[in-house]
Amino acid sequence: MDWNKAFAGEGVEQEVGSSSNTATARLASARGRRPRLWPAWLFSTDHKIIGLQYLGISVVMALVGVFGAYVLRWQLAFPGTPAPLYGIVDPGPYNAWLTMHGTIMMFFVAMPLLLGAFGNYFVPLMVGAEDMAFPRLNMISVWTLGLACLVLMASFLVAEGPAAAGWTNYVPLSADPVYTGVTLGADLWLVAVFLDFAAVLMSGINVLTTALNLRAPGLTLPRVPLFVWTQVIAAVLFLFSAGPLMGAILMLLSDRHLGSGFFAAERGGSPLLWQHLFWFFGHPEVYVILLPALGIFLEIFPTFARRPVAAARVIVVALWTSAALSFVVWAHHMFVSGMSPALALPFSITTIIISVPFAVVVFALIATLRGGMLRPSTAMCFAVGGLASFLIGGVTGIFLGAPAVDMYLHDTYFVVAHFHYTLFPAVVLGGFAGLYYWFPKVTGRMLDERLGKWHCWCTLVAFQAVFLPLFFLGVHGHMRRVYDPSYYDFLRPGIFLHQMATVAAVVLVLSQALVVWNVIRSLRKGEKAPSNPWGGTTLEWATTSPPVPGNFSEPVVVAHEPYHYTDCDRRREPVPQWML
Amino acid sequence: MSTAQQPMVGAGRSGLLGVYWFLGSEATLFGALIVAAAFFRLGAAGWSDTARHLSLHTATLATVCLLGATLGFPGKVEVGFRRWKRMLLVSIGGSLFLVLKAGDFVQHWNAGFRPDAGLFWAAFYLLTGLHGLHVLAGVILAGWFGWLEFRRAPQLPLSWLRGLRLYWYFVDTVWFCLLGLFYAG
Ligand SMILES: [Cu+2]
Repeated sequence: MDWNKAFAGEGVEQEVGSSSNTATARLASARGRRPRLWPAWLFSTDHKIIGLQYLGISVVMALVGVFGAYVLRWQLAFPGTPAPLYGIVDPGPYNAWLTMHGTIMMFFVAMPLLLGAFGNYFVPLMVGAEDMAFPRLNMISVWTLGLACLVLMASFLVAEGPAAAGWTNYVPLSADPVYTGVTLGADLWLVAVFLDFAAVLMSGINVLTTALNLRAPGLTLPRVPLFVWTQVIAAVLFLFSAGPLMGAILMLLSDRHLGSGFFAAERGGSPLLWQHLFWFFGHPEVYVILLPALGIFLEIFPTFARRPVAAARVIVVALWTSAALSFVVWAHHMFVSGMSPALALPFSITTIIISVPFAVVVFALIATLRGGMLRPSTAMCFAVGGLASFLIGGVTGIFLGAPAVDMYLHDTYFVVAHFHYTLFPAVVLGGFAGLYYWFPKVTGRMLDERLGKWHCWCTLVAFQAVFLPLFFLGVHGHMRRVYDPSYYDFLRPGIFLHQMATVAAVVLVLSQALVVWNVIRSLRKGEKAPSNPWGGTTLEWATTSPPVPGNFSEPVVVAHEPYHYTDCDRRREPVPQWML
Repeated sequence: MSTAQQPMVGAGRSGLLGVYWFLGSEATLFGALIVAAAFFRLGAAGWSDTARHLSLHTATLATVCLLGATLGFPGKVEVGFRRWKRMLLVSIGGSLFLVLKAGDFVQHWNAGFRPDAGLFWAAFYLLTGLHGLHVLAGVILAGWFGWLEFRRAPQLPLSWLRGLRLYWYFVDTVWFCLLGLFYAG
């Protein structure tokens, strides 16, 4: 496909032509004195470098999380046989991998990637700021996250292995080693998650303050790009939901070491309290991850459809509504936990209502495509595929929000399939969409579109093949978290579905070689990227690729709302935000 | 067409906005713990009887110290005259509060009322301990600010003092919630 080249040459570059001379001059001089020693890079307070550090952390942790998934999937498909590269999967390590896979993917991959990497790199650029509001806090934040990762990884080295009570760390499993056989590993889990949350809180404070206080002249709130809105809302959500789980972690540490009984029924405490505190945090957490991914889609759709986002302001209202509602839905995770059944109805109602604002966003995205001049780039491929896959996850969530259905489906593979259909599109497909969209901006090189398309289709198809079968297993009654499905007569006929999922998962992982190769190839000899290769309208495209230190060589002034395109000569030219 | 954008809180006051967000998250941390303890209090019959073990005298004295420290912050930071003396007052008041609380802890711990002696004590140690750590952080910050002011080397940014004042108000508020939870029979 060379529309991309043709389009890049279509005259988008010359918009910044006036300023590009000074910009390149500054870039060159900055390159000359850029500290090349690794400590300088390590202790940088530049939001762009910190964003890349977050990216590095999330990729490394993702490797561990993916390996965990492979171990689990092997045991489920071929119980009792040695997994290549691992060996026989024993029940104890199975539980540990189950716990670590969930913990790592949620807290150490999804949040560092979508908030840490994309948020850090692009929020200051998109609001026209030089850096974050608190650059040193930003550095401390990524360092705290690194420390959290070390603590979590250390639990693989201690005597009884890592925590094994599931990523939700329910009591009493997590409170008493008698259940899992894990002592120190469980403490390390609690400390690591606490540190991880502290890191994300610091990062969120930075994003909020930057987006509110450091906007370029003319960038009024209605003109703020939707990606920045999603980052702001995600930060607010995390800020007001993390406290309860951090408090619960302190209570559990006290239960484990000081002999208190907050969560121990026999000592007057309440095991359900953990579940309440966990899910009061847990549901907003899902949106903390989901909203930035939607934000990436919301940037990509207008750029490649050459149309303004339909009902952009309604989307902002819908996102805030969903954020507010996400604080009053948590007990839908607890319909069968033994809490008062009277609570099931109100929480079921709020859960089903919360799908309305998301439906608004999805319809607005689809309406954005209507009448657009679609350019099927790799970023667009991932964005459309991600949105479509997320729809399946969202709709199956409505099933689970109805208590009568949930009674049967709770803790089955239906739930596993459901949340993978929400989180995988958000984290992986959203992450790749953002990678292909912003790679030229970050590195100054274009990725190969042909390899990208192959990567996109392989990932999309393999993903469906991994998780669609799990819906059927769940409806069949397959409990989640079981170690060996072949123990159960009624599950044995379904094992071929597990095998299909496992084979597809291996294909899914192997097909990521395409993106690795694409990135390495492009970094080495990729085509040079202009400052605005896709014809974007938001401020990150106003600067050079990669951005100069300090982001903008000339002060930017914002003239109007984002996502404007002229409609003349049957060609749609972007009218960027900084164009008067 | 383009209008200059006014920052939400005012130029150069990003720090204060950051403190607001920080305290918002702190409020949910303490809020969750306090609500959980309140539920335990409602559910457990013996709570008020256990509460009698705590000394109201010490609590009153500690409250006076904490509020006295708050007086160290001028209503208007801009006119804060001789701020190092005020910061000294804050750190002394806070330190006295901590000494009283530590005495309380040691006394009850030695008397056998430990976190395993019931939910009241578990919640007491966790919540007042966490609050005490916050007071300690405030004392250290006030001491540091006061020292910087005393040396007059770099004039302390007003936003730092405003931030610390806000933080101290928050710590006061939490203390009043804890008084109601543990001391009011
Ligand atoms: Cu939920």
